Amino acid sequence: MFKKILIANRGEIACRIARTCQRLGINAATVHSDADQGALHVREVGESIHIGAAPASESYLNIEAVIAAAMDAGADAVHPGYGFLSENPVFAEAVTAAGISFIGPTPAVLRQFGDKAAAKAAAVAAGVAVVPGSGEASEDPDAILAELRGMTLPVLLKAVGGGGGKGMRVVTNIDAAAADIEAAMREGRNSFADGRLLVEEFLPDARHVEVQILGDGQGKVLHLLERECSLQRRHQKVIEEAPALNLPPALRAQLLDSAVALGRAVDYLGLGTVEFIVKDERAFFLEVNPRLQVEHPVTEMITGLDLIELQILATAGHGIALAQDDITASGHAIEARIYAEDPAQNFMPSTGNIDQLSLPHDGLRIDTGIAAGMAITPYYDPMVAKLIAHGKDRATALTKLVTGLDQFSISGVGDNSTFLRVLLRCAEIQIGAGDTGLIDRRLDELVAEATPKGVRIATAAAIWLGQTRRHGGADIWQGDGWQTGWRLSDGTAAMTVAPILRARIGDDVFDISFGPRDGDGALLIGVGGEGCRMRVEALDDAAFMVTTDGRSRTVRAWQGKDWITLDDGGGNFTARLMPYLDSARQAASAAFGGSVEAPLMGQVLAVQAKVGDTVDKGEVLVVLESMKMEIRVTAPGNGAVTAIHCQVGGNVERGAVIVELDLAP
Amino acid sequence: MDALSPEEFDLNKDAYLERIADLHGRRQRSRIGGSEASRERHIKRGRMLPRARVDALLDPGSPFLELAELVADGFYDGVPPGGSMITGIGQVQGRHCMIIANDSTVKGGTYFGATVRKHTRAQRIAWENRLPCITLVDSGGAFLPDQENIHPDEQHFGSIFYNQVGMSAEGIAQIAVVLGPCTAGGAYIPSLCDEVVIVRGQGFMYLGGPELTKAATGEDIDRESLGGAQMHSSVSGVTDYIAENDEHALAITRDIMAELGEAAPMRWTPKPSKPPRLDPNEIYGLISRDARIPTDNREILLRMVDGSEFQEFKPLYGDTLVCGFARIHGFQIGILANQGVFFTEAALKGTQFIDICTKRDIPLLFLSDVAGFMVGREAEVGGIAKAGAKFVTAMSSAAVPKYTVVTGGAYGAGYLAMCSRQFKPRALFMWPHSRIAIMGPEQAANTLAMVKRKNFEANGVDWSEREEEEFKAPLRAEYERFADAYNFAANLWVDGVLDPTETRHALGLLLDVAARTPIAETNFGVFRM
Repeated sequence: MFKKILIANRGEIACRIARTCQRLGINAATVHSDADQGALHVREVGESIHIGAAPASESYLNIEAVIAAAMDAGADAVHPGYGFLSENPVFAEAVTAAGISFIGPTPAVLRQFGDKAAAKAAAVAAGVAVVPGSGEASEDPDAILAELRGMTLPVLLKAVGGGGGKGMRVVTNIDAAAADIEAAMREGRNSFADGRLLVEEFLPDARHVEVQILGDGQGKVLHLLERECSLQRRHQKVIEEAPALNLPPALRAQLLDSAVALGRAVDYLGLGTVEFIVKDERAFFLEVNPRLQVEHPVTEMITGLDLIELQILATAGHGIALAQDDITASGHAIEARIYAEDPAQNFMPSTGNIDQLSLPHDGLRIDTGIAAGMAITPYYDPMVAKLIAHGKDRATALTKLVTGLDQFSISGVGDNSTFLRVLLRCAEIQIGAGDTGLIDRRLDELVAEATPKGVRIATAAAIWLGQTRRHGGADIWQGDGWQTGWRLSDGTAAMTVAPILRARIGDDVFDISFGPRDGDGALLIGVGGEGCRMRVEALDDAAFMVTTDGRSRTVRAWQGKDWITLDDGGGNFTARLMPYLDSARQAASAAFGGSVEAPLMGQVLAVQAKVGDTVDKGEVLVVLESMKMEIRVTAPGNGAVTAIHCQVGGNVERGAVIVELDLAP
Repeated sequence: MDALSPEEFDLNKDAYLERIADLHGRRQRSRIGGSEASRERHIKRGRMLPRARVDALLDPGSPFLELAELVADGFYDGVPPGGSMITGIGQVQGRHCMIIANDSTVKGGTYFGATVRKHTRAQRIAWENRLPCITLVDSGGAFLPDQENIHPDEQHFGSIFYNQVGMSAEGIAQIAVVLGPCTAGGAYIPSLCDEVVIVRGQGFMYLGGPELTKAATGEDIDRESLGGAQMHSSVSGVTDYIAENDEHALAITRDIMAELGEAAPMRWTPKPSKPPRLDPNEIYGLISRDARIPTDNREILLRMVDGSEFQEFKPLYGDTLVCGFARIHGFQIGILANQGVFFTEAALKGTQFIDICTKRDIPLLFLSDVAGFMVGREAEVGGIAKAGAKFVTAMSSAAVPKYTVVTGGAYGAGYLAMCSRQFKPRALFMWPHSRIAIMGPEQAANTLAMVKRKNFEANGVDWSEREEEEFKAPLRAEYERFADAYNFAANLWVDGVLDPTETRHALGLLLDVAARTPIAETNFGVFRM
């Protein structure tokens, strides 16, 4: 048995792996980058080795540094978790070469499944149905374009090294195909150092079903049942559950058998997932993820097994003590992934310090790698937590999960928990009729429903204003609530003539005016022309009783200098707040000064303008990457580029001026 | 004093609520600003209304104590109360400051005599309280027909400059935002400021405009080249920051205000504010609706102070002047309130109380409701003139911040002794029903009638009682009109008319402002012993 495992990962999965190690009596150590000095996994695992700078390429993806850390820690095995180096055959080889065990499949298997074309070939060889399309991967844009012309659109482009939605593009319009090919190749090259693409028939509105397999490397391969991950947004899984929903028994058996057959064909070692796309009772092989997966907890909940324990035992040469018949499902499990991201702003990752984090407490499994006081940085995946509900049936699990989401709140960064709640309340999801296109089809209405308006924004503004003034200084004008907005009365409840405060929630902007307080301490607040009278009473630092129209509600709120997070029972949302004029100045400086700022912290992927260029409004100047997003920074108006303050590969801070323009009057 | 019957209380209250409605109506007229057409024209040109500028400039949630909002009511044709200007105290970047804003929707923001005095009064308050001044300049300049009230004397236009220079010299920041054209003297207001923001294509500054320049020198020049934002910000250096519109200019002003350096330390430590235990709204029912029936001012003041807690000084002595310590929104204050005419004992007690407060640096609040000093042989022999002189010496010399609120009828030397305008209280307010006059209307009519009767008698002319009454009635009416709080407000003899229930708040704000001013030493004049 292993004596010490180096967990070459971070965040929730590092914490999760460490828990199994502890239970098995195996020592564990982990690694961290500059950005993760104070991260939860560093604290929880107990021993951590610094491996480099914040960008993943200089730390968590740095093979030499990770192996040096393993040696330094005296580890006899490395667990790669998911993402980062987990599927990298070069890494697996280097680990093995260093005399350390790699907890995962052999490098050859990684290599085979890492190349989507090779994986597809393996599936065909094992008699598994694959999605119709090109058999060969290509890095020739013209050849791909030519192939596209012969196919019925839409068509899916897939980087051979891709995964997690990266390097995938759906071509719907042949005129835009060249750009799609270029983008998919760029993502493939940047993320997987492989620009080759596969072309496949695009199967929209299908279901995503995957089978968990476990092999001993000697030919014994079991399946640990299936999972359904049909709820995706742009190919990224949002909600995962087990078992799959309403799968015809024959089809289900076919999937399980195919997965095991494919595993046996390669003498699979450790944990793996065989993914299928299911459309109209037809199932096609998609890919194999030769590693532990984010959504493994739903399988653990229904089978009662510890997947990581099984994985460690198998790779340590202890084989698999279970027989296929020992594996049975009990009840239903659903997982929701909470990310620091802003649904209203196209799910843009939301970085910042987490001032407050309240996790649900009622019978849910929560896997998290972050705690209050820590930061969501732009360097890594912005996942906050996975909420996993298990119940005797799907309805019970679903109710538990929604309740858990109700109890969740975070402040300092935006998050998708309200979006998830709205999503889970959809009729299709309630009856289990979701597909991979559902979220994208209904995105606008889901986001709109999850976006707060009117009285909810007024509540946030009223609390923020009261608290800001209360804590703003020692003088009575600020220290005592009664003066807020005080004026000599003219007997009317007139509001301030100008908007006073601007609230920004994602892309939505709300201008807020205030009227005088009445004798009861109620403040008149107007949001976008609609007024309401509101009394706010602080119960403690984070709890407030808000009374409007004779109805009192208790809400929770956390705030900083220019933001507030409100949890009002309708969900949890964060608004950025600033004096109205500050926003006017920003608009004026952008419109007149021609300074173009980075919308968020990130790395510069491309600089498409150069000094002296004449640009039109909306023209792309710089492409940034922050986590998994490509962000295009465009010209605010027509003009000439006078300076560029960033370079490809460099990092920029949020709000930094990256390009200056001399705008045409 | 006997407690009021509930019936009397209700009658008083109903009468007072009518006065409050009247006050609100006057304030509404003031706040509308110029005509609808004028306001619409202003907005169409992409400008913010003057009150919107003030609201937006202030910190979110800042209070705003408007001053002299009812000035010049009815003085000038087509000018609503306020004199085409808004002045008041609010917070910008957490700093208290004086905001002075021309209202160009009223006669183009012209300076009338009353406007000039409103401007200089706001500066006076700013100077005494060391408040940075933000002047939102948008004025067509002086109203030439009113030159006698604008140009020659102290407190006329030149005093605006004098005050700016004096305050700047004492480190009280002077900031101007040029939101409209300003010509000749008007151009000096921003020019004399520490920092000036100007709006492109909207703000212009010149000593002589294009027409005058053409007439004087024959030079043909457009206003942009003569005094536009770009020229002044990049060539002449008359202005410091260029803005693209009103909002942008005000945003820059907020930035300027964030860089004023260290804020002054507090001279007093307030306790947490607490509301009066006795309902302030009861003041309406306590104020006698009949001027001839006195009001119990002790009951009134208990409804103005924190927790209705009042530590009365020398309660058994000189009981026509109530003296004592209390807190208003946490700030300690020494209160002197009339409870009848001044007697020798009351004046001596008040003198001692003022002396104590100056020694302890406790600000003073005078609640003025007094017919005057006692007359008659007994009073004169008892040295009331000497006692009154002591009180006036103490009151006049006291260098602690002083505030006066006229809560009833303040007449003759009584008005003066209770820290009238001449003794420079930092603020002087009246309540809607209150009156100030050299004497009451009845006494005035009687006195003048007596003089006339003596004249008639000396000449052997017969003067019937009916004739005397016909003589007295218009005199009484004229005295009533003159003594009215709104007449005093219109003439800017007071800083405003306050609802009794908002008085405590206005004072709380003013005390908070005064708390950041340095302690001044009191040197009493010679006390006649």
